[in-house]
Formats: sequence, C-alpha cells, structure tokens
Amino acid sequence: MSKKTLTLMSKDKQLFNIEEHLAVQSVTIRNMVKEDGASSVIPLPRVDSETLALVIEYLNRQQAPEEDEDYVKKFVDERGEIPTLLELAQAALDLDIKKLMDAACMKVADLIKDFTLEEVREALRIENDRTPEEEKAIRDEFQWAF
Amino acid sequence: MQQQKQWICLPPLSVNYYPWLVAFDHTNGDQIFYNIHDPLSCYRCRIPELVGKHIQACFHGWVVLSDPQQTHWFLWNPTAPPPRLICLPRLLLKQDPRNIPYAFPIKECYLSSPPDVPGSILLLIRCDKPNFVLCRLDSSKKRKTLRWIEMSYAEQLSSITGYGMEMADTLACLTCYNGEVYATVSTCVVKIHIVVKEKSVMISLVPFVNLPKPPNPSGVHPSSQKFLIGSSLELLVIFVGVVLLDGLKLKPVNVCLYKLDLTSMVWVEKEDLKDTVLYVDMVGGYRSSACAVVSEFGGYVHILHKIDKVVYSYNVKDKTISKSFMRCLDWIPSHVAVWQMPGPGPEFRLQSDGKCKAKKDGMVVRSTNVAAKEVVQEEIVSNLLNLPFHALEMILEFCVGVEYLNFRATCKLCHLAAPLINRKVPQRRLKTYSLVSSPWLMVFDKRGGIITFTDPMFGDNYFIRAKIVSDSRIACSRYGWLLLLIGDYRLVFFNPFTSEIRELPARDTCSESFCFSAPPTSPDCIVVGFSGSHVFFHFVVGEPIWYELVLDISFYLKFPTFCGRDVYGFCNGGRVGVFREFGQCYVWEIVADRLPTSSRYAAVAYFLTTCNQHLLLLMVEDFGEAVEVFKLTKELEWEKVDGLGRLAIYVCDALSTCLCMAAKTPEMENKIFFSRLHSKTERLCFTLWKHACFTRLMAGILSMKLGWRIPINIPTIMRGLNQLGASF
Repeated sequence: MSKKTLTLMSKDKQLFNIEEHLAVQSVTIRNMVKEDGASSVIPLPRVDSETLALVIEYLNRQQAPEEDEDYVKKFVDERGEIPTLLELAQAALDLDIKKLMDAACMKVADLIKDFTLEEVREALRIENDRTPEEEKAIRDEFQWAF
Repeated sequence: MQQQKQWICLPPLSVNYYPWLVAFDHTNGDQIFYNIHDPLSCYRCRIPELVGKHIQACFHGWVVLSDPQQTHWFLWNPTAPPPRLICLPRLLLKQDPRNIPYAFPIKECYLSSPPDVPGSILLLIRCDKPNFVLCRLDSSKKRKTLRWIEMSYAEQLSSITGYGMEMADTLACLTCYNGEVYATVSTCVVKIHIVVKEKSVMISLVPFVNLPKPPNPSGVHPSSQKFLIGSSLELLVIFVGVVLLDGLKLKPVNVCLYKLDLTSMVWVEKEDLKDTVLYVDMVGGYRSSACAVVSEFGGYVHILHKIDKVVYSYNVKDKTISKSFMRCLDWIPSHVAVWQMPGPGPEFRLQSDGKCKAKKDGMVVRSTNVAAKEVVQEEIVSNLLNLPFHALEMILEFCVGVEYLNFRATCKLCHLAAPLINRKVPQRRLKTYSLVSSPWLMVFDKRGGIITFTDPMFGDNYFIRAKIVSDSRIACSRYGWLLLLIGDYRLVFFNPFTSEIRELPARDTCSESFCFSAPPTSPDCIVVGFSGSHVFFHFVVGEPIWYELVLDISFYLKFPTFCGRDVYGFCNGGRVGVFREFGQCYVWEIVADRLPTSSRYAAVAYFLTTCNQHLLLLMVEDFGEAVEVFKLTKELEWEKVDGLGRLAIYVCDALSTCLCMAAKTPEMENKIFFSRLHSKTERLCFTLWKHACFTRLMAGILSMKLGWRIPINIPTIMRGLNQLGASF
C-alpha cells in the first residue's frame, strides 16, 4: 500500500510532493490534514520555492527523536547565511515547525554575536530609521553596553 | 523570480478579524492598507474611488469620502453589486473672515442610514462655528437634486451649557449608540434628535447625561483628551491623559474607560473590553471608532498618533500602554483612516497579476515598473523586516547581553520586538550557555532595575530586569540565591533566574553582615547576621522569627562565613572565632588570637572563605597591589598557602564576598579574581593574582568586554547557579 502524498505549493507556484507522515511534522499541515484531509494542493503563500525545498529536505530527512536535536542543528549550520536562515525561520514559523524555527533563529543570533550595532544593521540589512536624536537617546540609556 | 519580488498584494479585508487602517499616499494616489496586528505586512493598491480623497468615516457599509479640502464629498459603497459612488454637490462654506480659516472646516460626519432609505441624511459638524451642515440623500419629486443645508445650533447649545451664544462651543465626538446620535459639548453628552419630514429637517439637542470627571492621577499632566464611542451595545467615554514632551509631542500616559449604566445613568469604569478594540485619533479631531474583533486581538484601545507615526495600544485589562511604530507611515505624509466595513471588502474585485490592469468597475491595481523597483530595493534594504514580528522576537530571544541591546537598537521595529528584558524565566540562551563558567559577576543597576551578569570565562554580559533590585542591596550571595536587604530591616531571598522571592520575617534591628548555610529551598537553611556583639539567626523552615544571641560586649563580630554547619567570623583584636554546629550549640570560640602579619603590607583587607572544610584567610593590600592566602591548621595556626592548585578564588570587595571553588577551566586554576571599578575608565574589570603577584588582565581569556560605566551599582559575586551551586 503506497503512502499518502501531499502537495505543497510555494508562493511562486511551484509544487512539491511530500509524504503525509513526514509533512505532518508541521503543525500547520497537520491541522489542515485533520480538518479537511488536505486532498488538494496546500498553498504556502509566504514561502518561496527555494526555501520550501529546504523545508522539504528537512522534513524528509527527519531522524529518530534522540538524534533530532543534533540533526536540526547541523541542518541549519550547513545553511549558515543569514538571508537563507531568515527565510527558513519565516517558513518554519508559517508551517509551525518549532525545532526548525528555534534552530534557525538561534543560528541567526549566533551569527550576529559580538557584532557591533552597525555590523548588526549591515548583516541583517536593517535600515536605521532612528533620527540622530533618537539614536543618541538609546546610546545614552545603555551607554555602558555600547 | 520577478514574481517573488511582487510587492503589491491585496489586503484580506474580508477577513473581518480586525479593522484596517488606510493611509493615503497623495504623491501617487496609492492607498496603503495595514493593521497593527501584523505591522510587517502592508498592502499598497490604487483604488480609483479613493484616489485624491480621504476616508472620513464608515456607516452602514458606506464609506464617506471627501477631498482633502473637504469641498467635495462622496458616498461610496464598495461592496454593493454593482459598486456605487454618489457625488455630493460642492460644499462651499463661508468662514468668518475675522478668524484664521480652517484647513479642514468639517470635523465630524454622520450618515443616518443608507442613501436609498427614505429620510437618509449626511450630517456634518463645522469646526469653526456651531452649525450643522446636512445633505438629504433621498430623492423626491420636488427635490430632484441634492443640496447642502446649513443650520445653527448655537441657541440650543447655549440653553444647555448656560453660556451666551457668543461663547457657544461646537459639538464634538459625534457617535451613534443604539440607533441614536450623540455628541459631547463642554461637560455633558447631548442626544441629537433628527426628524426628517417631507420638506424639512428638524434637529434638536437634548441633554442626555453629564460626562464623568477625567481622572487626574498624581504625577500625570492634568490635560486629557476625551472620546465618546457608541456601539449597538454601549456608550463609552475614554479619557486619554497626555503629557507634553519637549513642548511639542503629546504622549498618552493614562487611559480611563467608562461605560454608561443606562438604568442608573451613572458612568461605571470599564475593566475589560474583551472582544472589542477601540480606535481613537489623538490628532484627528477626536475621531474614534469601535470594532468587534476576534478575541485574540480584542481588549485594546489603540490611540493613533499620526504625527509621531506611532500607535499607543492600551490594554484595558492589564492597564498597560505599549507603543507600536507604524513603519508604513514613515513613507508618506498621509491621511490615515480606519477601514471598518461589514462583510467583504473590495478585494474580491481586485487582482494582482503583475500588470497594470483596469477592471470593469474601474478599479486599478497598480503594479508599475516604479513599484517593482521599490520592491526590489525594499528587500535589499530591509531583509530582516520582511520577517514576521514573531520571528523577530524569536531571534531576539536567543540574543543575550550586549548583542541583545545592539540588536534592539538597530531600528524601531527591533526595539519593539525586544522590550527591555523582563522575563520570569531564564533567557533561552542562558539555559544552555556557559553555565560551567560559574560563578558570575553580578552588577545591580539600581536606576533601571537591571542586573548584569558577567561570564568570567568569556566576558559575556547578560541582562535581567528585576524591579526588586532598585531599592535593595545584596547582603549575601550563595547557591544561586541572593539574600537582599531592602531598606534596613526587610530581608528576602531572591533568585534572579526565576524571579522567585522568599520573604524572611521582618526584623527590628539592622545587621552589618549576613551569611546563609544552604539554599532557602533546603530545610538546613539558616540565615545568620552579625551586628556588633549581637548575633541574629533564623531557621528558614522554622518559626517565622529571628533569634538573637548577645555576646560579651567586648566582642565585635563581622564577616560570618559558613563552613559546613560551623560559622566562622572575624572578631575585634585581629581574632577569628567560630560557632561550632550552629543551630545546636551557640558558643563563640576563639580559634585564632591574631591575624598573620606581613611587613610588606601597610593597609590590609581581610577575607574569610572555606574550601574542603578548611578555613582560608586572604590578606589583600589595597586592591591591586599584593595578596597572601593562609590556611587555618588543626593546630589553630595560620599557615601560608603558596599555591591554590586547581582552585580559584573570587573576591568582591564591595560586600566582602569571597569564594573559593574548583576552577572551571585549566586557565582559571591557581588564580584569584577580583572585581573592581577601574578608577580611570570607570569600567569594571577583573584583576588576577597569580604566583604571589598581581597582573591586570587587559587581553586574553579573561579580558572582559566590559564597556560598563556604573553609576549606582553594587557589584558582587554570584556563587554558582542553581544547577551548580549545591556542591559548594
């Protein structure tokens, strides 16, 4: 008897097949399956195809529970670029895959560790939207930290 | 991939979870839909009916629109099949030439019923004079064209307020409750009774109820803005207490809600909004609206402050105000309105297919090249900000110490995602990070109520906010617990990682120095305090009282130090004594008649500590110069110690704290660490004693990234964390 397969659609309309028993590691998908059987295509409007491919790879290579922690850590370590990790974090959030979400966020936090304020902005491509006065106020408040 | 960069998408307006805010970008005619529950998502589109117009209000599924100058008014029903747009005649208002003309002469509007219903009128209230302006919307044989009618209510108002007609105010806070129209004037609420006849419209003002008095809590600026909000169920008054910052900015600091009890006609304070959210506009002419939403977003009064581009959200139940930054408002100087429509919004007729596409009904979704460029730039400039707010919070949860503050300071959104740490549970990173390097240095910043932890191994700083530190000082620190002295007489155990507080019985005398034998969770925990010749002690699991021992007045004890169940301490005259088996026996026994002397030292500080049931004595000359370590032998003699082996000693002079424990890493072995404020840089640093000489570390494994200036701090050493401290 063949295993049931689900089809996920990325925001750029690409389709990905995944076995249901693997896909339901995502709480979002699990709930959809419970509610309506998810017989049709499951759209993921905020996840692009590249990121969805990564998520599928993560779900497909799911390990035994005792090895799971090391696996997810290794998985995000191998994708150590911040933009990829941010996309992965967003996808994991949408799909409610807690371990992947935690690991991706933790990796981002690791990568910006020891960065200065300006380096954090540069690494995460954050535009400084503070006025010089606001910036000064923040620095004054925590001058012992900067 | 171009499609991935697609920025233009449409708001799910039909999902009636929460009201949407609409900002109007008059530079290009776009509208930006957004909501404060998902501040990272905003939707830019161009709906022809809205181009060049402002939304004034929404009634009965109709949107009341005007041009920015309020001379052209429209009624638009986006949901009707087919959609309808009614253009009203041009509104030309005569303004008093003696007064400065109002940029926006109309401050309130009210649509009594859908335009097709007989007797429907659009009622406007002028800003500059007590006049109604109305337009009858139902057509009749005699009245084929629409026209504006203006009528004064000055006389009616004068009779209500008692002021002369020259002093007549204007109505404000127009709202609809239970099918009737209400407004405020001066200190009361009036009912606006509208009777529409074939040839005439009669509007009468009827006093309804006095407004509640605005609260004036101490310390809050007495100025407050009031809003009257009606719904089908209740009539509410909101007072927003504001303070003026820098002489310019209004900041809400206090919000009070009152609900009218119709049976007694008394205003009752409302404690919870449950599934309702209210929007009030601080700079928009007292406009307000009430919306029922799904429960997770309910319970808030959102105070829009368009000038500062922020929304203050008041949680009615918790009585807390949080501040949200509306990022999209930064782009444009815009008019902002609340889109609160029943049923589906216009998006069912909008499409976003990547092209500029005109629909049959005339709606256009803009997707020009210019927009596409903006999209690409947006993603490059602000990659992070595409993340959902929750994901941002998650990343920040894993950030600790200076990196947390750095991240928090990068932009306003990160600032929102990372409130100053105030967590009841340890930060996630702290659960797994560097615990082995215990003990940590703790610094209390009493001004901000912030505890800073410094990992002596890596020099990382971690922060926890704990209000209790703001008016307390550390009396003793062991086993991951702090014994805090609050004022002179109140003692509490405080665990900074769990925020657990355990009160000790009140005392009526103050002691100079304290120690405790075990964690307060242990039945063996005894707290001992020395105060001259008096010894106070308390059994944590015993009666909630302090016991007192009074020794001979010739004894002056200090520096209590537990060694097993024995309590050692310094005694005047350079002596060291002990209470053996404290709790069972209370005899003070002198074990050393004199302290060791050294000709090398001039001013010396002494510290006691224990290790492997041995009592150790540290002699330290004027911190930073020299130190010697002695061990009390079985013969009760002080024997000089030439090396600590695998031990390390941590000393904090501020509270005479001294710990001796196994070094956590080989690099830390046989060293003595001191915490101190660097006199020149005002930075906290560790100095290191090794092989009988001091070396101030400026680099290497123990060099701290201690960019601290410490205005009002009490440094101390934290002895072990909960997980590790039991062995010491």
